[in-house]
Amino acid sequence: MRPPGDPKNLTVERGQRQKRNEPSGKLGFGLLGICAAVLLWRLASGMVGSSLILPPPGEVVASFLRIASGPGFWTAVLGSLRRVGIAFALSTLVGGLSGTIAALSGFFKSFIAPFLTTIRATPVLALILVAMFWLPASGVPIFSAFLMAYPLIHGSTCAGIESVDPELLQMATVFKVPARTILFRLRLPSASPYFLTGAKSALGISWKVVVAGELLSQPAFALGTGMQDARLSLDTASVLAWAAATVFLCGMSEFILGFASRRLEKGRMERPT
Amino acid sequence: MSLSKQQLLQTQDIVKSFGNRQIISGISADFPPSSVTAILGPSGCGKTSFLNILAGLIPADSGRLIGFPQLSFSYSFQDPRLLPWLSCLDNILFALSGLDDEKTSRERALRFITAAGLEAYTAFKPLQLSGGMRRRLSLARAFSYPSDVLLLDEAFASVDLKLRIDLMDLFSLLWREEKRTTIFVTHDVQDALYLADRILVFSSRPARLLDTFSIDTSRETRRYGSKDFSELEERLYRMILS
Repeated sequence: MRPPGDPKNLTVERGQRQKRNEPSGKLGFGLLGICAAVLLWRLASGMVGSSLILPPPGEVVASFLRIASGPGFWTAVLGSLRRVGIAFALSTLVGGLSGTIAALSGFFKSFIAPFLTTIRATPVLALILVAMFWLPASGVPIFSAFLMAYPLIHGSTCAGIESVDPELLQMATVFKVPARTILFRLRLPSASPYFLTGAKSALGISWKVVVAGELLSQPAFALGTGMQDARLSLDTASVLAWAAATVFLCGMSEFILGFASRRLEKGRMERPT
Repeated sequence: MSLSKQQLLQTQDIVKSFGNRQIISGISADFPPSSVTAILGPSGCGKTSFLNILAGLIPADSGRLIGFPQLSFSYSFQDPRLLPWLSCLDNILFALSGLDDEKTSRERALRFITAAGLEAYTAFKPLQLSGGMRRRLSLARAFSYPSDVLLLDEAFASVDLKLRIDLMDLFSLLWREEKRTTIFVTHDVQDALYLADRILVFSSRPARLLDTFSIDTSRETRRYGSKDFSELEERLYRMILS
């Protein structure tokens, strides 16, 4: 055995570290974490001894299967998915546009700053409650999610455009590249990693706020409505089953967006095939 | 693109400071049209700042630029400064996008990409190219842009000797097409002797013009590192090291 401090140990340690970072290793540790959490849940449920307070995992899985095979589940999923899609698309469009303008105009950036600070500081529930006075039940989750996701996209787009490499800008200045070309071929493409990071956060927040909005405004065909109905029936297992469906859908959409953005970024830097 | 023989390009008593630190201390020099002028000096002496002043990228604190403000410039930077998401061809077309005729721009870009030996890589992105190819692309971009003056900032530095000579030969090849007025910055005496018609020697910071040398030997007959200029070489080394 080599003594501690032997430089050859570094190679061994590096090899071990590499092994730990392999995808299969990560997946293994992830599964282990899930097993540990389920085991803890099972133990805690056994100690509480009441399905109303904390049902065991098996009961929640059974509820999930019952809900998922019912007629309302998929329409609820599609309804929520549609609301998330609309809120996310709106916030991406408006946030991307206003973020771009803010990065190019100091006046607009200062003008919009108090509005953004107010939205960021407003509790989401307060926003939903106010929106309920103004909008129909189906519009409340969309409006609330848009307002919560919009500042994220705005901020990341603005930061991305502002962080463009000054040396590339200097190069464009020397070659007298028109402002329009600089915007579309230099500033916006260099902002894209920031924009995609912001979009990923915005998608996550959209799911949370849409379901919270549905929970309070009770539109037809919504995950939040299903969750609220289960709560009113004192069916905790079903509440958790609806929540699990939401978590799964949110995770899946974030994964798809992350995968697509990684492919997009990789493709951007490589030769088209 | 090619300046008239009568056009006067001159700097008079250029001074530049950054904060309390003086970088350039009263440089006056001439730059004959259609010549290749090397600015030779120790690293960090203010050569790049001087080039940036000529290009109008930074203002001088005092002094005069005669003939320069009316001109257009191409610049090959020390770092190639390529847009990683654009192909080789699009990187050059980006630099040419301010020109009126799109068709001519494309033809020009393709001509210089081919001259730089990158015709098989037009669709490749910069990250897919080697360091030397990126530098060749940067040179091709600078030559493609139909400017009055070509500025090169250590465009041949930080690469191995073979690649450096290849890049300088590429420069000579491209330069012969239009014989554009060129000012290039280097800290390498051999590079200056290989390419320049005139050599301006700058002192260490704050940069002053120590001396100007002319080389009358045709560029085509020069060999890199040859002893043909040994006397001048020795004088240049002495001057830089003094």
